[in-house]
Amino acid sequence: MNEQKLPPHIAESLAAFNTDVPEPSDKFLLRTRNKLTTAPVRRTSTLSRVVRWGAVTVTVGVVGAIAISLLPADPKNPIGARPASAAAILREAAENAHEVEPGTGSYVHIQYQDKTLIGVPINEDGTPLSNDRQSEYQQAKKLYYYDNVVGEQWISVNGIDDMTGQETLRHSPELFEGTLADLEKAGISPGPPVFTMVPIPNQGPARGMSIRQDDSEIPAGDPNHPSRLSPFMNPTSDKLASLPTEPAALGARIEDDLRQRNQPVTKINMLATVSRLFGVGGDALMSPELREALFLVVADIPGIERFDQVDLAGRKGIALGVEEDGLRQEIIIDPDKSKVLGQRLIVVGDNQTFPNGTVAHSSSFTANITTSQPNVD
Amino acid sequence: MNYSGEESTDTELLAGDREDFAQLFDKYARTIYRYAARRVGPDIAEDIVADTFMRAFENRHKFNTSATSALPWLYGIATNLLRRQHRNETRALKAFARNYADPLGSGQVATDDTAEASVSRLDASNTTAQLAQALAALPAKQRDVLLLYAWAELSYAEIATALDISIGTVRSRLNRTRAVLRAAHNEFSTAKSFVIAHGGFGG
Repeated sequence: MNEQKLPPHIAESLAAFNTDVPEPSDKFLLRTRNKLTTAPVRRTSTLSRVVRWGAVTVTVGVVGAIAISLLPADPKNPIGARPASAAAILREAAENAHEVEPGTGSYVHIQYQDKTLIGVPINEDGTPLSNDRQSEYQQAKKLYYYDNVVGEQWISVNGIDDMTGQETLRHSPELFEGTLADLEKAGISPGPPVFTMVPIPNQGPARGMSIRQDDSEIPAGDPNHPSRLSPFMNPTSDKLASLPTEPAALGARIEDDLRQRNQPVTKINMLATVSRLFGVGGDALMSPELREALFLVVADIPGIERFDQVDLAGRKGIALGVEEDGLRQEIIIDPDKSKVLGQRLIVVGDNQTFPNGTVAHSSSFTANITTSQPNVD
Repeated sequence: MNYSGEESTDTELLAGDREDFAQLFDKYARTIYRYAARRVGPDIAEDIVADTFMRAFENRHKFNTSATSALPWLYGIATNLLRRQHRNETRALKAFARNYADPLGSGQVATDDTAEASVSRLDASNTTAQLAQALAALPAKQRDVLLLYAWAELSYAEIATALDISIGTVRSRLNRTRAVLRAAHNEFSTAKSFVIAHGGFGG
Protein backbone atom coordinates (compact mmCIF):
# COMPACT_ATOMS: atom_id res chain seq x y z
CA MET A 1 0.00 0.00 0.00
CA ASN A 2 1.38 3.34 -1.00
CA GLU A 3 0.89 5.28 2.20
CA GLN A 4 2.54 8.65 2.34
CA LYS A 5 3.84 9.61 5.74
CA LEU A 6 3.10 12.88 7.39
CA PRO A 7 6.07 15.27 7.40
CA PRO A 8 8.14 14.30 10.49
CA HIS A 9 7.80 17.62 12.31
CA ILE A 10 4.01 17.52 11.89
CA ALA A 11 3.77 13.86 12.80
CA GLU A 12 5.81 14.56 15.94
CA SER A 13 3.65 17.48 16.99
CA LEU A 14 0.51 15.54 16.29
CA ALA A 15 1.69 12.48 18.21
CA ALA A 16 2.49 14.62 21.21
CA PHE A 17 -0.73 16.58 21.00
CA ASN A 18 -3.22 16.23 23.83
CA THR A 19 -1.72 13.05 25.22
CA ASP A 20 -2.31 14.10 28.79
CA VAL A 21 -5.64 12.37 29.22
CA PRO A 22 -6.52 10.15 32.17
CA GLU A 23 -7.12 6.45 31.81
CA PRO A 24 -10.76 5.38 32.08
CA SER A 25 -11.70 4.62 35.65
CA ASP A 26 -12.30 1.03 36.66
CA LYS A 27 -15.67 2.07 37.98
CA PHE A 28 -16.71 3.38 34.58
CA LEU A 29 -15.41 0.30 32.79
CA LEU A 30 -17.19 -2.04 35.17
CA ARG A 31 -20.45 -0.11 34.98
CA THR A 32 -20.41 -0.07 31.20
CA ARG A 33 -19.44 -3.71 30.98
CA ASN A 34 -22.31 -4.62 33.28
CA LYS A 35 -24.73 -2.69 31.13
CA LEU A 36 -23.58 -4.58 28.07
CA THR A 37 -24.05 -7.92 29.73
CA THR A 38 -27.40 -7.18 31.32
CA ALA A 39 -29.25 -4.60 29.24
CA PRO A 40 -32.01 -6.07 27.10
CA VAL A 41 -31.62 -5.84 23.37
CA ARG A 42 -33.68 -3.13 21.82
CA ARG A 43 -36.83 -4.36 20.22
CA THR A 44 -36.98 -3.91 16.49
CA SER A 45 -40.67 -3.78 15.89
CA THR A 46 -42.09 -4.16 12.45
CA LEU A 47 -45.44 -2.98 13.70
CA SER A 48 -46.44 0.24 12.08
CA ARG A 49 -47.10 2.69 14.85
CA VAL A 50 -47.71 5.90 13.05
CA VAL A 51 -49.93 7.97 15.24
CA ARG A 52 -51.35 11.41 14.88
CA TRP A 53 -51.89 13.41 18.00
CA GLY A 54 -53.95 16.45 18.56
CA ALA A 55 -54.54 16.98 14.91
CA VAL A 56 -57.54 18.36 13.16
CA THR A 57 -60.79 17.35 14.74
CA VAL A 58 -61.62 13.70 14.55
CA THR A 59 -64.81 13.29 16.52
CA VAL A 60 -65.46 9.73 15.72
CA GLY A 61 -66.41 7.26 18.39
CA VAL A 62 -68.32 7.67 21.55
CA VAL A 63 -70.25 10.84 22.06
CA GLY A 64 -69.04 12.47 25.21
CA ALA A 65 -66.21 10.05 25.72
CA ILE A 66 -63.34 11.36 27.74
CA ALA A 67 -60.30 11.16 25.58
CA ILE A 68 -57.82 9.78 28.01
CA SER A 69 -55.36 7.84 25.99
CA LEU A 70 -53.37 5.15 27.64
CA LEU A 71 -50.75 2.82 26.41
CA PRO A 72 -49.16 0.46 28.86
CA ALA A 73 -45.59 1.37 29.57
CA ASP A 74 -43.12 -1.05 28.08
CA PRO A 75 -40.75 -2.08 30.84
CA LYS A 76 -38.71 -4.12 28.37
CA ASN A 77 -37.92 -1.05 26.37
CA PRO A 78 -34.44 -0.28 27.63
CA ILE A 79 -32.74 2.95 28.22
CA GLY A 80 -31.23 3.81 24.90
CA ALA A 81 -27.63 3.62 24.05
CA ARG A 82 -27.24 7.35 23.55
CA PRO A 83 -26.04 8.61 26.90
CA ALA A 84 -26.20 12.35 26.30
CA SER A 85 -28.50 14.66 28.22
CA ALA A 86 -31.85 15.86 26.88
CA ALA A 87 -30.45 19.30 26.14
CA ALA A 88 -27.48 17.83 24.26
CA ILE A 89 -29.76 15.59 22.21
CA LEU A 90 -32.01 18.52 21.37
CA ARG A 91 -29.08 20.68 20.36
CA GLU A 92 -27.97 17.85 18.13
CA ALA A 93 -31.42 17.71 16.56
CA ALA A 94 -31.23 21.48 16.08
CA GLU A 95 -27.83 21.22 14.43
CA ASN A 96 -29.19 18.65 11.99
CA ALA A 97 -32.21 20.77 11.08
CA HIS A 98 -30.47 22.13 8.02
CA GLU A 99 -30.26 18.64 6.55
CA VAL A 100 -34.05 18.59 6.18
CA GLU A 101 -35.36 20.15 3.02
CA PRO A 102 -38.97 21.44 3.02
CA GLY A 103 -41.03 19.81 0.28
CA THR A 104 -43.31 21.36 -2.30
CA GLY A 105 -46.79 20.28 -3.35
CA SER A 106 -50.47 20.77 -2.66
CA TYR A 107 -51.11 18.54 0.30
CA VAL A 108 -49.46 17.52 3.50
CA HIS A 109 -49.89 13.79 3.77
CA ILE A 110 -49.89 12.66 7.38
CA GLN A 111 -49.85 9.01 8.34
CA TYR A 112 -50.55 8.16 11.91
CA GLN A 113 -51.49 5.49 14.34
CA ASP A 114 -52.99 5.98 17.73
CA LYS A 115 -53.92 3.86 20.67
CA THR A 116 -56.18 5.74 23.00
CA LEU A 117 -57.91 4.74 26.17
CA ILE A 118 -61.38 6.18 26.12
CA GLY A 119 -63.38 6.57 29.29
CA VAL A 120 -67.05 6.10 28.44
CA PRO A 121 -69.35 7.70 31.02
CA ILE A 122 -71.83 5.01 32.05
CA ASN A 123 -74.78 4.52 34.33
CA GLU A 124 -74.66 2.12 37.24
CA ASP A 125 -76.10 -0.59 35.00
CA GLY A 126 -73.27 -0.17 32.50
CA THR A 127 -75.29 1.60 29.82
CA PRO A 128 -73.93 4.87 28.42
CA LEU A 129 -74.98 8.19 29.87
CA SER A 130 -77.25 9.99 27.48
CA ASN A 131 -76.21 13.10 25.58
CA ASP A 132 -78.48 15.32 27.63
CA ARG A 133 -76.51 14.53 30.78
CA GLN A 134 -73.18 15.92 29.62
CA SER A 135 -72.81 17.97 32.79
CA GLU A 136 -72.47 14.69 34.68
CA TYR A 137 -69.79 13.24 32.45
CA GLN A 138 -66.89 14.39 34.54
CA GLN A 139 -68.07 12.73 37.75
CA ALA A 140 -69.72 9.72 36.16
CA LYS A 141 -68.49 6.18 36.43
CA LYS A 142 -66.53 5.21 33.33
CA LEU A 143 -65.66 2.15 31.40
CA TYR A 144 -62.20 2.43 29.87
CA TYR A 145 -61.26 0.80 26.61
CA TYR A 146 -58.58 1.29 24.01
CA ASP A 147 -59.49 2.89 20.76
CA ASN A 148 -56.90 1.97 18.17
CA VAL A 149 -56.83 4.31 15.23
CA VAL A 150 -54.77 4.05 12.10
CA GLY A 151 -55.30 6.87 9.70
CA GLU A 152 -54.06 9.12 6.97
CA GLN A 153 -54.78 12.75 6.33
CA TRP A 154 -54.32 14.90 3.28
CA ILE A 155 -54.45 18.49 4.42
CA SER A 156 -54.10 21.36 2.01
CA VAL A 157 -50.83 23.21 2.36
CA ASN A 158 -53.07 26.23 2.86
CA GLY A 159 -54.39 24.70 6.06
CA ILE A 160 -57.69 23.15 6.97
CA ASP A 161 -59.58 26.27 5.89
CA ASP A 162 -59.01 25.19 2.32
CA MET A 163 -61.71 22.57 2.94
CA THR A 164 -60.30 20.20 0.36
CA GLY A 165 -58.60 17.81 2.74
CA GLN A 166 -59.70 14.36 3.71
CA GLU A 167 -58.93 11.72 6.23
CA THR A 168 -59.21 7.97 6.37
CA LEU A 169 -59.66 6.25 9.70
CA ARG A 170 -59.68 2.70 10.89
CA HIS A 171 -61.02 2.39 14.39
CA SER A 172 -60.82 -0.77 16.41
CA PRO A 173 -61.63 -1.18 20.10
CA GLU A 174 -59.55 -3.16 22.52
CA LEU A 175 -60.34 -4.14 26.08
CA PHE A 176 -58.73 -2.24 28.90
CA GLU A 177 -61.04 -3.46 31.64
CA GLY A 178 -64.22 -5.49 31.84
CA THR A 179 -65.43 -7.80 29.11
CA LEU A 180 -66.53 -7.50 25.53
CA ALA A 181 -70.10 -7.68 26.79
CA ASP A 182 -69.44 -4.68 29.07
CA LEU A 183 -68.05 -2.83 26.09
CA GLU A 184 -71.05 -3.58 23.97
CA LYS A 185 -73.38 -2.58 26.78
CA ALA A 186 -71.59 0.77 27.00
CA GLY A 187 -72.39 1.33 23.34
CA ILE A 188 -69.04 0.38 21.87
CA SER A 189 -69.11 -2.19 19.13
CA PRO A 190 -66.38 -4.70 19.83
CA GLY A 191 -66.31 -5.77 16.20
CA PRO A 192 -63.62 -5.56 13.52
CA PRO A 193 -62.00 -2.29 12.44
CA VAL A 194 -64.37 0.34 11.11
CA PHE A 195 -63.14 2.22 8.06
CA THR A 196 -64.36 5.73 7.36
CA MET A 197 -63.32 8.51 5.04
CA VAL A 198 -64.21 12.01 6.12
CA PRO A 199 -63.56 15.51 4.82
CA ILE A 200 -61.30 17.90 6.68
CA PRO A 201 -62.31 19.74 8.72
CA ASN A 202 -64.95 17.45 10.11
CA GLN A 203 -68.35 18.92 10.64
CA GLY A 204 -69.87 19.32 14.02
CA PRO A 205 -68.58 20.50 17.34
CA ALA A 206 -65.68 18.85 19.05
CA ARG A 207 -66.74 16.36 21.65
CA GLY A 208 -65.08 14.96 24.70
CA MET A 209 -62.67 16.08 27.36
CA SER A 210 -59.03 15.36 27.70
CA ILE A 211 -57.02 15.00 30.85
CA ARG A 212 -54.61 17.36 29.12
CA GLN A 213 -57.34 19.98 29.32
CA ASP A 214 -56.14 21.31 26.03
CA ASP A 215 -57.78 22.27 22.81
CA SER A 216 -56.32 19.71 20.47
CA GLU A 217 -59.53 19.54 18.52
CA ILE A 218 -60.45 22.29 16.11
CA PRO A 219 -64.19 22.68 15.62
CA ALA A 220 -65.17 22.85 12.00
CA GLY A 221 -67.81 25.51 12.35
CA ASP A 222 -65.83 28.46 13.65
CA PRO A 223 -63.35 30.04 11.21
CA ASN A 224 -62.13 32.39 13.93
CA HIS A 225 -61.52 29.75 16.52
CA PRO A 226 -58.15 30.54 18.15
CA SER A 227 -56.87 27.06 17.41
CA ARG A 228 -57.70 27.43 13.76
CA LEU A 229 -55.84 30.74 13.63
CA SER A 230 -52.85 29.31 15.47
CA PRO A 231 -49.77 28.55 13.36
CA PHE A 232 -49.03 25.68 15.73
CA MET A 233 -52.45 24.06 15.51
CA ASN A 234 -53.28 24.79 11.88
CA PRO A 235 -49.97 25.43 10.16
CA THR A 236 -49.45 26.72 6.66
CA SER A 237 -46.20 27.68 4.98
CA ASP A 238 -47.06 31.36 5.31
CA LYS A 239 -47.98 31.13 8.96
CA LEU A 240 -44.82 29.24 9.77
CA ALA A 241 -42.69 31.66 7.77
CA SER A 242 -44.00 34.47 9.97
CA LEU A 243 -42.72 32.85 13.17
CA PRO A 244 -39.48 34.08 14.70
CA THR A 245 -36.49 31.76 14.36
CA GLU A 246 -34.58 33.10 17.32
CA PRO A 247 -35.28 30.59 20.12
CA ALA A 248 -36.16 33.08 22.88
CA ALA A 249 -38.52 34.98 20.60
CA LEU A 250 -40.07 31.76 19.34
CA GLY A 251 -40.57 30.57 22.92
CA ALA A 252 -42.35 33.83 23.70
CA ARG A 253 -44.47 33.37 20.58
CA ILE A 254 -45.52 29.91 21.72
CA GLU A 255 -46.47 31.33 25.11
CA ASP A 256 -48.59 33.98 23.36
CA ASP A 257 -50.23 31.30 21.28
CA LEU A 258 -51.15 29.35 24.40
CA ARG A 259 -52.69 32.45 25.95
CA GLN A 260 -54.65 33.17 22.79
CA ARG A 261 -55.99 29.65 22.95
CA ASN A 262 -56.86 30.12 26.64
CA GLN A 263 -54.36 27.51 27.66
CA PRO A 264 -52.14 27.85 30.71
CA VAL A 265 -48.51 28.58 29.94
CA THR A 266 -47.02 25.45 31.43
CA LYS A 267 -43.98 23.38 30.63
CA ILE A 268 -46.19 20.55 29.44
CA ASN A 269 -48.18 22.82 27.17
CA MET A 270 -45.02 24.37 25.73
CA LEU A 271 -43.69 20.96 24.87
CA ALA A 272 -47.07 19.75 23.65
CA THR A 273 -47.39 22.74 21.34
CA VAL A 274 -44.09 21.99 19.66
CA SER A 275 -44.93 18.31 19.36
CA ARG A 276 -48.37 19.09 18.00
CA LEU A 277 -46.98 21.37 15.32
CA PHE A 278 -44.95 18.48 13.96
CA GLY A 279 -47.90 16.12 14.31
CA VAL A 280 -50.37 18.21 12.33
CA GLY A 281 -48.12 18.50 9.32
CA GLY A 282 -45.85 21.37 10.29
CA ASP A 283 -42.93 19.00 9.88
CA ALA A 284 -43.42 19.07 6.12
CA LEU A 285 -43.88 22.83 5.91
CA MET A 286 -41.33 24.41 8.23
CA SER A 287 -38.03 25.96 7.26
CA PRO A 288 -34.77 24.52 8.59
CA GLU A 289 -34.34 27.69 10.64
CA LEU A 290 -37.69 27.23 12.35
CA ARG A 291 -36.99 23.55 12.91
CA GLU A 292 -33.69 24.41 14.54
CA ALA A 293 -35.29 27.05 16.75
CA LEU A 294 -38.09 24.70 17.83
CA PHE A 295 -35.63 22.13 19.12
CA LEU A 296 -33.71 24.84 20.93
CA VAL A 297 -36.94 26.10 22.52
CA VAL A 298 -37.57 22.60 23.83
CA ALA A 299 -33.98 22.38 25.08
CA ASP A 300 -34.66 25.51 27.15
CA ILE A 301 -37.79 24.17 28.85
CA PRO A 302 -36.85 23.88 32.53
CA GLY A 303 -36.61 20.31 33.72
CA ILE A 304 -36.57 18.71 30.28
CA GLU A 305 -35.09 15.26 30.70
CA ARG A 306 -34.25 12.32 28.56
CA PHE A 307 -36.26 9.23 29.45
CA ASP A 308 -35.83 6.25 27.25
CA GLN A 309 -35.34 5.09 23.75
CA VAL A 310 -38.29 3.88 21.77
CA ASP A 311 -38.89 2.28 18.46
CA LEU A 312 -41.79 3.53 16.37
CA ALA A 313 -42.44 1.67 13.15
CA GLY A 314 -38.79 0.77 12.94
CA ARG A 315 -37.88 4.36 13.66
CA LYS A 316 -35.66 4.73 16.66
CA GLY A 317 -36.45 7.72 18.79
CA ILE A 318 -35.51 9.21 22.10
CA ALA A 319 -38.19 10.33 24.54
CA LEU A 320 -37.54 13.66 26.19
CA GLY A 321 -40.03 15.05 28.62
CA VAL A 322 -41.11 17.32 31.45
CA GLU A 323 -43.20 16.51 34.51
CA GLU A 324 -45.90 18.70 35.88
CA ASP A 325 -49.00 18.17 38.00
CA GLY A 326 -48.91 14.40 37.97
CA LEU A 327 -48.23 14.06 34.27
CA ARG A 328 -45.19 13.80 32.10
CA GLN A 329 -45.36 15.07 28.57
CA GLU A 330 -42.82 13.53 26.27
CA ILE A 331 -41.70 14.32 22.79
CA ILE A 332 -40.06 11.51 20.85
CA ILE A 333 -37.42 12.66 18.45
CA ASP A 334 -34.85 11.36 16.04
CA PRO A 335 -31.98 13.80 16.57
CA ASP A 336 -30.05 12.48 13.58
CA LYS A 337 -32.88 13.36 11.22
CA SER A 338 -34.07 16.37 13.18
CA LYS A 339 -37.54 14.87 13.31
CA VAL A 340 -40.28 14.54 15.87
CA LEU A 341 -41.61 11.00 15.62
CA GLY A 342 -44.37 11.22 18.16
CA GLN A 343 -45.33 12.01 21.70
CA ARG A 344 -46.49 10.42 24.91
CA LEU A 345 -48.28 11.60 28.00
CA ILE A 346 -47.58 9.57 31.11
CA VAL A 347 -49.25 9.52 34.49
CA VAL A 348 -46.66 9.96 37.23
CA GLY A 349 -47.05 9.64 40.98
CA ASP A 350 -50.22 8.74 42.79
CA ASN A 351 -53.34 8.76 40.72
CA GLN A 352 -56.62 7.27 41.83
CA THR A 353 -57.49 5.92 38.41
CA PHE A 354 -54.22 5.00 36.75
CA PRO A 355 -51.04 3.49 38.12
CA ASN A 356 -47.81 5.43 38.16
CA GLY A 357 -46.04 5.12 34.84
CA THR A 358 -49.15 4.53 32.80
CA VAL A 359 -48.69 6.00 29.36
CA ALA A 360 -51.70 8.23 29.19
CA HIS A 361 -51.43 9.12 25.55
CA SER A 362 -49.18 7.95 22.81
CA SER A 363 -48.89 8.84 19.20
CA SER A 364 -46.53 8.85 16.31
CA PHE A 365 -46.72 10.29 12.86
CA THR A 366 -45.01 11.08 9.62
CA ALA A 367 -45.73 13.99 7.33
CA ASN A 368 -44.74 14.54 3.71
CA ILE A 369 -45.75 16.92 0.98
CA THR A 370 -47.67 15.38 -1.93
CA THR A 371 -49.13 16.81 -5.07
CA SER A 372 -52.50 15.07 -4.87
CA GLN A 373 -54.86 13.13 -2.68
CA PRO A 374 -57.19 10.22 -3.36
CA ASN A 375 -60.61 11.13 -4.70
CA VAL A 376 -63.25 11.81 -2.08
CA ASP A 377 -66.75 10.60 -2.82
CA MET B 1 -10.70 -18.11 25.06
CA ASN B 2 -12.62 -20.58 22.96
CA TYR B 3 -13.29 -24.16 24.01
CA SER B 4 -10.04 -25.41 22.53
CA GLY B 5 -8.12 -23.08 24.79
CA GLU B 6 -7.07 -20.68 22.05
CA GLU B 7 -7.57 -16.96 22.19
CA SER B 8 -10.94 -16.21 20.62
CA THR B 9 -10.88 -14.07 17.51
CA ASP B 10 -12.88 -10.87 17.35
CA THR B 11 -15.23 -12.54 14.92
CA GLU B 12 -15.86 -15.33 17.41
CA LEU B 13 -16.43 -12.86 20.20
CA LEU B 14 -18.90 -10.95 18.06
CA ALA B 15 -20.71 -14.13 17.11
CA GLY B 16 -20.96 -15.29 20.69
CA ASP B 17 -23.11 -14.34 23.64
CA ARG B 18 -23.04 -11.28 25.87
CA GLU B 19 -20.12 -12.56 27.89
CA ASP B 20 -18.12 -13.00 24.70
CA PHE B 21 -19.00 -9.48 23.69
CA ALA B 22 -17.92 -8.27 27.12
CA GLN B 23 -14.51 -9.75 26.36
CA LEU B 24 -14.36 -7.61 23.26
CA PHE B 25 -15.18 -4.65 25.48
CA ASP B 26 -12.34 -5.60 27.84
CA LYS B 27 -10.02 -5.84 24.88
CA TYR B 28 -10.75 -2.51 23.23
CA ALA B 29 -12.63 -0.18 25.59
CA ARG B 30 -9.50 1.52 26.89
CA THR B 31 -8.15 2.05 23.38
CA ILE B 32 -11.36 3.63 22.17
CA TYR B 33 -11.56 5.69 25.34
CA ARG B 34 -8.05 7.09 24.94
CA TYR B 35 -8.75 8.08 21.36
CA ALA B 36 -12.07 9.70 22.25
CA ALA B 37 -10.62 11.44 25.30
CA ARG B 38 -7.87 13.01 23.22
CA ARG B 39 -10.49 14.36 20.92
CA VAL B 40 -13.30 15.46 23.21
CA GLY B 41 -12.08 15.09 26.79
CA PRO B 42 -12.59 12.36 29.36
CA ASP B 43 -16.20 13.10 30.31
CA ILE B 44 -17.65 12.89 26.85
CA ALA B 45 -15.25 10.06 26.06
CA GLU B 46 -17.04 7.88 28.60
CA ASP B 47 -20.32 8.51 26.80
CA ILE B 48 -18.68 7.77 23.47
CA VAL B 49 -17.25 4.47 24.68
CA ALA B 50 -20.52 3.32 26.24
CA ASP B 51 -22.45 4.25 23.14
CA THR B 52 -19.89 2.74 20.79
CA PHE B 53 -20.06 -0.67 22.41
CA MET B 54 -23.82 -0.57 22.81
CA ARG B 55 -24.17 0.14 19.10
CA ALA B 56 -21.57 -2.44 18.25
CA PHE B 57 -23.52 -5.01 20.21
CA GLU B 58 -26.76 -4.14 18.49
CA ASN B 59 -25.12 -4.20 15.08
CA ARG B 60 -22.71 -7.04 15.60
CA HIS B 61 -24.30 -8.94 12.73
CA LYS B 62 -23.03 -6.20 10.43
CA PHE B 63 -19.40 -6.83 11.27
CA ASN B 64 -17.43 -7.98 8.27
CA THR B 65 -16.25 -11.39 9.41
CA SER B 66 -13.38 -11.38 6.92
CA ALA B 67 -11.73 -8.63 8.97
CA THR B 68 -9.14 -9.86 11.42
CA SER B 69 -9.69 -7.16 13.99
CA ALA B 70 -12.85 -5.45 15.17
CA LEU B 71 -10.90 -2.39 16.22
CA PRO B 72 -11.22 -0.40 12.96
CA TRP B 73 -14.95 -1.14 12.96
CA LEU B 74 -15.22 0.10 16.54
CA TYR B 75 -13.22 3.20 15.65
CA GLY B 76 -15.69 3.79 12.85
CA ILE B 77 -18.65 3.66 15.21
CA ALA B 78 -16.86 5.91 17.68
CA THR B 79 -15.98 8.34 14.91
CA ASN B 80 -19.61 8.60 13.86
CA LEU B 81 -20.52 9.40 17.43
CA LEU B 82 -17.66 11.86 17.74
CA ARG B 83 -18.87 13.69 14.67
CA ARG B 84 -21.83 14.84 16.72
CA GLN B 85 -19.31 16.50 18.99
CA HIS B 86 -17.68 18.30 16.09
CA ARG B 87 -18.63 21.76 17.29
CA ASN B 88 -17.58 21.05 20.86
CA GLU B 89 -14.32 19.62 19.66
CA THR B 90 -13.66 22.62 17.47
CA ARG B 91 -14.42 25.02 20.30
CA ALA B 92 -12.09 23.08 22.61
CA LEU B 93 -9.31 23.13 20.03
CA LYS B 94 -9.66 26.86 19.57
CA ALA B 95 -9.55 27.40 23.33
CA PHE B 96 -6.53 25.13 23.48
CA ALA B 97 -4.85 27.16 20.76
CA ARG B 98 -5.50 30.39 22.62
CA ASN B 99 -4.14 29.06 25.90
CA TYR B 100 -1.05 27.51 24.38
CA ALA B 101 -0.25 30.54 22.29
CA ASP B 102 0.30 32.41 25.51
CA PRO B 103 1.28 29.82 28.08
CA LEU B 104 2.21 32.31 30.76
CA GLY B 105 -1.03 34.14 30.32
CA SER B 106 0.74 37.43 29.69
CA GLY B 107 2.97 36.82 26.75
CA GLN B 108 6.01 37.27 28.98
CA VAL B 109 8.93 34.95 29.34
CA ALA B 110 9.59 33.53 32.81
CA THR B 111 12.49 35.35 34.38
CA ASP B 112 14.36 32.23 35.48
CA ASP B 113 14.43 30.80 31.97
CA THR B 114 17.55 31.09 29.96
CA ALA B 115 16.88 32.82 26.68
CA GLU B 116 17.40 29.58 24.83
CA ALA B 117 15.05 27.60 27.10
CA SER B 118 12.42 30.29 26.82
CA VAL B 119 12.47 30.29 23.08
CA SER B 120 12.47 26.52 23.00
CA ARG B 121 9.51 26.28 25.35
CA LEU B 122 7.55 28.95 23.57
CA ASP B 123 8.50 27.34 20.32
CA ALA B 124 6.88 24.10 21.45
CA SER B 125 3.87 25.90 22.87
CA ASN B 126 3.28 27.84 19.72
CA THR B 127 3.70 24.79 17.55
CA THR B 128 1.03 23.08 19.62
CA ALA B 129 -1.19 26.13 19.42
CA GLN B 130 -0.73 26.30 15.68
CA LEU B 131 -1.56 22.64 15.36
CA ALA B 132 -4.68 23.00 17.47
CA GLN B 133 -5.74 25.91 15.33
CA ALA B 134 -5.13 23.93 12.17
CA LEU B 135 -7.07 20.95 13.52
CA ALA B 136 -9.93 23.22 14.49
CA ALA B 137 -10.05 24.58 10.96
CA LEU B 138 -10.17 21.16 9.32
CA PRO B 139 -13.51 19.94 8.03
CA ALA B 140 -14.86 17.12 10.21
CA LYS B 141 -14.30 14.44 7.60
CA GLN B 142 -10.67 15.39 7.07
CA ARG B 143 -10.06 15.62 10.80
CA ASP B 144 -11.53 12.14 11.27
CA VAL B 145 -9.20 10.63 8.69
CA LEU B 146 -6.15 12.45 10.00
CA LEU B 147 -6.69 11.47 13.61
CA LEU B 148 -7.53 7.88 12.81
CA TYR B 149 -4.24 7.82 10.95
CA ALA B 150 -2.10 9.74 13.44
CA TRP B 151 -3.64 8.82 16.79
CA ALA B 152 -5.41 5.53 16.20
CA GLU B 153 -2.58 4.49 13.91
CA LEU B 154 -4.90 2.81 11.45
CA SER B 155 -3.72 1.99 7.96
CA TYR B 156 -5.40 3.50 4.90
CA ALA B 157 -7.33 0.28 4.41
CA GLU B 158 -8.45 0.21 8.03
CA ILE B 159 -9.55 3.84 7.88
CA ALA B 160 -11.47 3.02 4.72
CA THR B 161 -13.19 0.17 6.57
CA ALA B 162 -13.85 2.27 9.63
CA LEU B 163 -15.44 5.13 7.74
CA ASP B 164 -16.93 3.08 4.93
CA ILE B 165 -15.13 5.07 2.27
CA SER B 166 -12.70 4.09 -0.45
CA ILE B 167 -8.95 4.01 0.05
CA GLY B 168 -8.66 6.68 -2.62
CA THR B 169 -10.86 8.94 -0.54
CA VAL B 170 -8.73 8.28 2.50
CA ARG B 171 -5.65 9.20 0.50
CA SER B 172 -7.11 12.40 -0.90
CA ARG B 173 -8.42 13.53 2.47
CA LEU B 174 -5.05 12.93 4.07
CA ASN B 175 -3.33 14.81 1.28
CA ARG B 176 -5.57 17.77 1.91
CA THR B 177 -4.89 17.69 5.64
CA ARG B 178 -1.15 17.49 4.98
CA ALA B 179 -1.35 20.61 2.90
CA VAL B 180 -3.28 22.46 5.58
CA LEU B 181 -0.93 21.38 8.36
CA ARG B 182 2.15 22.18 6.32
CA ALA B 183 0.80 25.63 5.57
CA ALA B 184 0.06 26.17 9.24
CA HIS B 185 3.56 25.07 10.16
CA ASN B 186 5.15 27.32 7.55
CA GLU B 187 3.06 30.23 8.76
CA PHE B 188 4.28 29.61 12.28
CA SER B 189 7.92 29.28 11.16
CA THR B 190 7.68 32.57 9.34
CA ALA B 191 6.12 34.22 12.35
CA LYS B 192 8.77 32.75 14.62
CA SER B 193 11.60 34.09 12.44
CA PHE B 194 10.01 37.48 12.55
CA VAL B 195 9.55 37.42 16.31
CA ILE B 196 13.07 36.24 17.02
CA ALA B 197 14.48 38.89 14.70
CA HIS B 198 12.50 41.54 16.54
CA GLY B 199 13.30 40.56 20.06
CA GLY B 200 11.09 37.78 21.43
CA PHE B 201 7.55 36.53 21.78
CA GLY B 202 6.53 38.95 24.47
CA GLY B 203 4.31 41.93 24.18
